[in-house]
Amino acid sequence: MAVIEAPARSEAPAQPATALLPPLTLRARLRAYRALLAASYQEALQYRAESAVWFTFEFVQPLVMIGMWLTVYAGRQDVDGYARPDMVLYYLGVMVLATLLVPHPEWWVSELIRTGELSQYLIKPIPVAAWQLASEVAWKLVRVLLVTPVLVLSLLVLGQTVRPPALDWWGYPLFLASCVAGFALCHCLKVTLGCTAFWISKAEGVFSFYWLFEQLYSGRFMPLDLLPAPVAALGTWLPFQYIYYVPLQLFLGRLTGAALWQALGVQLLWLVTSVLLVRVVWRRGLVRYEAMGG
Amino acid sequence: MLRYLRIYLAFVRNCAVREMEFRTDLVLFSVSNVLTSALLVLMMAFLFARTREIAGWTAERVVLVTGTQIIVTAMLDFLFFKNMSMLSRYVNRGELDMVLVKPLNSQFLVSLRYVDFSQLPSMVVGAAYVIGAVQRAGIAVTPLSIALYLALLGIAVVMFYSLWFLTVTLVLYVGRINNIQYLIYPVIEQARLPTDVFRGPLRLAFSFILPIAFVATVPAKALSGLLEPGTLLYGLAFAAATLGLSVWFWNFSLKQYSGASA
Repeated sequence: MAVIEAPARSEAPAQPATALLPPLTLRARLRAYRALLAASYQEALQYRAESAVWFTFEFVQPLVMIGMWLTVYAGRQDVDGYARPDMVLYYLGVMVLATLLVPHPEWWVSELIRTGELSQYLIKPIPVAAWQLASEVAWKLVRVLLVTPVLVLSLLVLGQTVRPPALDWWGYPLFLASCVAGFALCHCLKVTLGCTAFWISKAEGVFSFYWLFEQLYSGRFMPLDLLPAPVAALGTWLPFQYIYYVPLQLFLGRLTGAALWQALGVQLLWLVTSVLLVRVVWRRGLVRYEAMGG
Repeated sequence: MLRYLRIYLAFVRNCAVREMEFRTDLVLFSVSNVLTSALLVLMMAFLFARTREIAGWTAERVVLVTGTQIIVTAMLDFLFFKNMSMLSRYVNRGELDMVLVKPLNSQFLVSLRYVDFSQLPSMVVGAAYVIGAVQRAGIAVTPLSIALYLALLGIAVVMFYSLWFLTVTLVLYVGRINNIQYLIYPVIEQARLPTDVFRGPLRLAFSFILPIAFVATVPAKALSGLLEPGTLLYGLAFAAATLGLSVWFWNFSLKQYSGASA
């Protein structure tokens, strides 16, 4: 299946680089990672037009949903605990966080596996995981450039319908930490998803089942606490709401006290689980990949 | 004209033969498309269950709009998605010249060469939702309203094919961009909500400037016998104008295009 050209690989299967080169010093490694991130950023900038097209998938719907909710709030003050400013802030939050916290490494990973290009990365002295992460972070840096003007414009247009969240000062660092955890969780889940290409030739089929759940349970379409109770209950057993819905609820001040710590605890648990999962799947996949090539 | 019809049938037959070679993919993608469509309607039901009604639209009636949007997008995907993807690929790989030298109208060839059969089951799902909604909401349909509904679906397909093709034609100027064929989706996705739920400039835009109202809201109203003749005329004119524009822009762009391989 995968076309493997580098002969060195069959000699040193698991981590060929360490077998061929002396281990890097910490300083050299840090320098390598910085260079990697810089190079990835340059590459992501090359793809800014693509990034802008994908960005439309992230900002159009939340803004349109705000338009719909404004009509709803013309006739009432409150929808199950969401006042108008809460709802507007919710969807602005969705717009920003869905843009910045949802990476898409599944495409790249599955493509590398399918074409056999993965071999090139396996023989480099930097782990493949670092390449993946650097590339996703770089794409998100470009997205910051795209989302900032849209956010500023939206705030100007929406004007008096927005108000800042009622959040204590310590809420902000907690929110940022939760965002980082959400990004890492999503990244691990999606790399795992991409790894299904080790076993299946049409991995996109599997992706679309993931998106099915993500569409509903990420909170992109509507706040999850407005879903019918049994549907929402199922969501608490899935990882999707811990990507940006939980950070967003925290930001809106809708998660307090014990519920807050519980949500953050479960988020951390999912993060650890997803890291373990991706490591196991990646290792097993690599064995399979080499079996196919060798 | 007859020659083009014969060629088109040959294209469809060719695609069908190809699909039969990858049956598992066809089944997999059909299932995922059907589930996505079903979920879409479910999400609308959840939303409207919470808000009861928005601008006179209840959960029951919204299914009429969402179901119609599913039919139209599945139809557009069935007819054009592969073609729009291939067009941007031809340009990225410098293969467009190979298409242009064929003794056929180039817009016909790049727009209609492929069909995607995995979209057909979604169309059935959309139709089932529409029929179910008509019965549950007790809408009295007449032969005339059904005819108008179907005609409006045709208008929507022409209109949004033209807008889609206009956006993808931009690839001739941008050159390296591999996802421009997706630009239409975030727009047409919004048509699953009745455009009456918006107010002010957004409603105006969705009715006249970027009239996603014609994807589902207007046909759904026509089915209930609430179509205004002016709206129908505007839809016809807009579809004709965008189709004409797409033909003009394609030919204009081809003249500007210097090719990639030469």
